[in-house]
Amino acid sequence: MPELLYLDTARLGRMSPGAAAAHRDFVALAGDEGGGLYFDRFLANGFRDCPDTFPTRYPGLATWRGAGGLKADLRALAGCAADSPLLLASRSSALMRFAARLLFHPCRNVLATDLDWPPYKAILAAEAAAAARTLTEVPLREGVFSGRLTESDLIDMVCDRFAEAKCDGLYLTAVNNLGVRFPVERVVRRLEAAHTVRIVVVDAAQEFCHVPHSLRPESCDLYLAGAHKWLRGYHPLGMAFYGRRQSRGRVQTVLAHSVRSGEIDDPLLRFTARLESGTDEHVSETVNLTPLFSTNGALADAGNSAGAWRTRMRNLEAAAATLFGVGWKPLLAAREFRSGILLVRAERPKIQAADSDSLRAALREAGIAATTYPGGLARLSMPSDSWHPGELEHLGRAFKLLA
Amino acid sequence: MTTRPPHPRPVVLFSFRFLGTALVGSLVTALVASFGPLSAQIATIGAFVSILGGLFLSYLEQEEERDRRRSDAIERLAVPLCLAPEDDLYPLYLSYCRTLTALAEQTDPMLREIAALKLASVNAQIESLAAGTVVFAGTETWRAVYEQLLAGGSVREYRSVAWLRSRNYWQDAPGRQSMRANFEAVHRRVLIERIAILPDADWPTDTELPADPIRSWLQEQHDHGLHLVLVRESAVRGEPDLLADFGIYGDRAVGTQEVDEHSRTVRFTLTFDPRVVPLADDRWRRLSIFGIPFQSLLATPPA
Repeated sequence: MPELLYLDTARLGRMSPGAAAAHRDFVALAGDEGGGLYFDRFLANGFRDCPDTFPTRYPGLATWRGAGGLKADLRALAGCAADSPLLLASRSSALMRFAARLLFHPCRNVLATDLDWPPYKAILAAEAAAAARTLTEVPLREGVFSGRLTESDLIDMVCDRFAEAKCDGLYLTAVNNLGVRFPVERVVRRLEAAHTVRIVVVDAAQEFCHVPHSLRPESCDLYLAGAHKWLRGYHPLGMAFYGRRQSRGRVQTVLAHSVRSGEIDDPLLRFTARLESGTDEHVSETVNLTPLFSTNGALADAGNSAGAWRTRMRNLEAAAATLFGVGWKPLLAAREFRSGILLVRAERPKIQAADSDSLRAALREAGIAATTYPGGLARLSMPSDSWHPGELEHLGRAFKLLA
Repeated sequence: MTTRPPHPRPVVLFSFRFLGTALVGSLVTALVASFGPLSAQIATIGAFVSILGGLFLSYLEQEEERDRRRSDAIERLAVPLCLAPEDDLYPLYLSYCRTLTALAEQTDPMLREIAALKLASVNAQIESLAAGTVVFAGTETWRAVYEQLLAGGSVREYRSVAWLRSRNYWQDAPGRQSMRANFEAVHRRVLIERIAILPDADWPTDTELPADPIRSWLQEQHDHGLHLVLVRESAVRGEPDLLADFGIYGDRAVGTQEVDEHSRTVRFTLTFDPRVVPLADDRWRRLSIFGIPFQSLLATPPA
């Protein structure tokens, strides 16, 4: 039986073995070489121009082929075209602020839903207010969790609201923090067939490396993801994929302006934006490159996402069945909305009234790492491997203890 | 602060004018009463009463004239009183007054005639300004006002219709400068939407995108975040009032540009009248019906 059953991937994934090895060896390399010549060569091209001893001394970094190689692998993982650009940032919120700027450059009224991550929604609302534009929200959460909405109903509701409110921009969350999978591709296709949708931004922080290709990044103008959640790179690394024909130039122009004007102050984003635009503008700030190496290491562990997805869904049903009889009620949306995140609510009012931090601490004491919310809610991220022997029993016991 | 007590009004009975006149009159009447017959006494009193009546009527007439002059003076003061709080206009008013006063001293009839003609023209311009309309004829200086409007911060939304009658449209230095002002405004969160009416020669019906340099001109705007809609000139030929070059600056003003065949400005009229905005808005909406969003053309892969 494991000492800790880590089911908090949706918050901050536990560092994958490959990421951990890359991190360790990067620290060793930094300790040996500092910022010397070999480090620069390694950063640019991997071990190609370094002494022959490097691969054996730092095996965790063997897959590093430079920033270009990392981007190529991330593109392939996201299902993007090989020539599509990719932005990397040390803070996801910097990318979200950029996304909000991009949306409200040409849009008068952006449609969002109540499934979006509240801090990101706040960024969007602040930009809407600053630009004197409108942010229209469609309430869906209650309908999804009560089972009242089917996928078709949800699509109708979103599209009808878009037309009714005369919206012209879209901000959608592919999988939200509570595990609701949103039919982004179908909504975007239908809206674009009937209306002019000036910009589409998709928050895929919980989708990337979790749900297999539910959306082609080419279907939206900006696809936001992160390497520190389901990819398990651990060190925060925000990503933004783009490259749609109609908006590629616009993203690059707005980005270049935002970097020049200092609106974007994320050093890694400035660094990668500079690489992307090919300008040789001097970057005065020293950039923390650790997330790049840990992400590169994690990529080696990113397995077959379709297989992992099927396993996660099996694990979800098994976990829901286990917790059902021990004083916790799984909140299962209709099958088409489900993801590898299971939301459970305590049945006892005393637990529901408990402080979410205390509940999280109690779960940790009982050997479960999970995210908790007020109202006695716990969010469990399903592992990509089948439950190991004893794990489900451990889960059931831990939750029963707290019920 | 202390206030000085009001100066006491002198008592009329002790004034020299009253006392002197009363004493002389009384003395004359006393002499006539002592030495003259009754008829002379009555005639003297009658003369005095008549003089008094005449003086009173004269006083009333003078008072009436003074009132009329006072009213005229107050009426003349009304203009400066109304303008006095207007810090930008009042100094100009004073300057005009001084200049006109100086002009009034010029006596040459030819000069006076020319001045009258010129001033009539200036008056017409001022009347137009007072009605909220600024006209720039044969000059590109309107662009300074245009850029000021976009940069001022009070206009959050700018909708423009660009009727491109030649490929040189806004390609000269002033045009490029104005376009930069557009880009800066977009980055300052001004929403800019532009309908471009294109000649069919530059956007034939069998091609997806307009030809260069118009295509590049449009692409640059699109990349900076302007929303563009394209209309073929032939599509709106049946509605000639839609073939125009105008801009709607929020709900504040409407500008109309008239250009020659080389896309040089012939006249630019800027109207700050909220009543004309809905009319321009209606025109904009009618024109939109014929439009295709530029981004949808970009989305189509090349054949």
